Amino acid sequence: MHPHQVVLDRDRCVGSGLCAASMPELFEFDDNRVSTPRNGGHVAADLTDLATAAAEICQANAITLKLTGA
Amino acid sequence: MTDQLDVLAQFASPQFRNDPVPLLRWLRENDPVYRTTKGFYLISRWADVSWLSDNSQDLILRPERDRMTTEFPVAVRHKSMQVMLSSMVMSNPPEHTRLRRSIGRDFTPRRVDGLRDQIAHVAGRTLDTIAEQLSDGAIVDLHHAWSLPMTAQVISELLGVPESDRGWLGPLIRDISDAMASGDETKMTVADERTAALAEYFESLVAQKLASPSEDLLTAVACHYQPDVPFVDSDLFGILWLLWLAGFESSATMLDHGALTMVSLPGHMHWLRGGYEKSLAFADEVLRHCVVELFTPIPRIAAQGLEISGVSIPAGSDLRPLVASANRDPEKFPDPDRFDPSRDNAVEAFTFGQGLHRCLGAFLARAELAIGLSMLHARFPALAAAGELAMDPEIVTTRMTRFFPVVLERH
Repeated sequence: MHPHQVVLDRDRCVGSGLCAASMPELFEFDDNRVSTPRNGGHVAADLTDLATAAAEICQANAITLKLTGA
Repeated sequence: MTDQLDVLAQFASPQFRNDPVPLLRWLRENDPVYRTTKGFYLISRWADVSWLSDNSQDLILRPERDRMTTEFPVAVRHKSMQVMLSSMVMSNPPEHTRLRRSIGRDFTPRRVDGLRDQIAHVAGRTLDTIAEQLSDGAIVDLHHAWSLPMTAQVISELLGVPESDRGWLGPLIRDISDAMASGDETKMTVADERTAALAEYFESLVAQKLASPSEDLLTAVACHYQPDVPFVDSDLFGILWLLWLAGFESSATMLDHGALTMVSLPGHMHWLRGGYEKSLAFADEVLRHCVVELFTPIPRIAAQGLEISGVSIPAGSDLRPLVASANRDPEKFPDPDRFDPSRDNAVEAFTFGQGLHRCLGAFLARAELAIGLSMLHARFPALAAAGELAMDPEIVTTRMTRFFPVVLERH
C-alpha cells in the first residue's frame, strides 16, 4: 500500500523544526523536540513528493526516503 | 512601570550597548510580551518564541501582494525590498517548501563537510595576512582584517565566485544590509542600485556556470535559471541575494564575539584544542551566549488572536521574537549567563531561528566558527583585546560588530 517510508535518524536530528513546520502532514515533534514521522513513516502516495522534499531540505541529513517494496 | 519604560529607546542607549543583559532579563521576568512604542510586540521567553516559530505557518501571515502597498509602502518603490519580501524568508508553504527545496537539495551539510578543508585553508590564508603586523606588536582591527575577509572568502568559495570579483562584490552587501536594517529611503535607493548590480553580475556568472559547469554551489543551482523571467525577479536571484546578504556580515560578527570570548574567558580554551567536535561545542555556546540579534526588522503579523504568557494579543499584531533574551532564558538554559560549552542544549538556542525559517546556512556558519576560532587560537594563543568590541550605534535590531582591536600579549 505504502511503497515509500521516511526514516528519521534520531541521533542526527537537531530539532530545528524545519520539517515539522514545513510538512506537518509527515512529521511531528516528540516530547524531546525530536522529529518523528507520522504513521510509522509510511507515506501515502500523494505525499511522496513532499517526503522527497523533506529529505532534501533537512539540514541535519537526518531524513531518508526508502522504498519498502511493499 | 511598563508604561514609562521605552525599551526601544533603551536599546539605542550607550548603557544598553555596554551591558544588554539586565534589560533583557527584566523583560523576560516582568513583561515577556512587551508592546513597543512602535506598536510591535517583543516576545522574550524561550518557550513562547519556540511555540510561535514551530507554528509560524499557521500563526504568522505572509505579506500578501495586495497588502504590501499598505503594510510595506516602501516596497513599492524599492526593488531590494521587493526581492526580500518575495523571498523564502517571507513565504509560507507550499511556496516556501518549493523555494527552500530549490537550494536545500544542494546546500547540504554534506557539501559543507566537504568544504571543511577549504574553510581551514581560507582561515589560514586570512590569518597569514595579519600575522606580521601582530608579531610586530601592532594593534589590528580583527573585524576588518580577519573576520570579514574570512567569511566573505568562504561564501565565495562555496558559491564559486571567482577570486578576481570578490573585492568589489563584498562591499555591496554592507549597503544593502544597512538599508534593510534602517528602512531609510535614501539608503534604500542605494541598496536598489547594489541589488541591480548583483543581479547583473550573478546572471552572467550563472550563464558561465551553465556553459562550463564546475563543482560549486552556483553550478548546482544554475538549473533553476528561468530565461523568460527578468533575472532580478527570479527565484534563483532571490536565493543568491539571500545567501550573499546573510553569508558574511553576521558570520563575521559571530567570529568577533568568539574572539572576544577567547580573550576574556581564557579558562575555556581547551575546547578549541580538542578537535572539531569540541570546537563546535564552543562555537554553539558562543552563538547562544553572545547578544547580537535582538529582533528582526521584518514584521511578523499574527494571523489570529493569540494568548502568549497570559497576554491576549489581537489578530493583526506584529510579533517579534527577542532572540538574545530567549537564548538567556533560565527555564531552557540553566545558569544562562554563564558561558559553558559543556551544556548539552546550546544548539537549541534561537540564534538561527527555528521551524520554517530556520537559517539555511546555520551549519555553514557553525563550521566557519568552529574552524576559524580553533585556528585563531592555535596561531595566536597570546591574543588579547586592545580595546572594546565596537558595535554599530545606528542599527538597533542587530548589534553588528564594526571594530575589534586586538594585539599579542608580551610576557
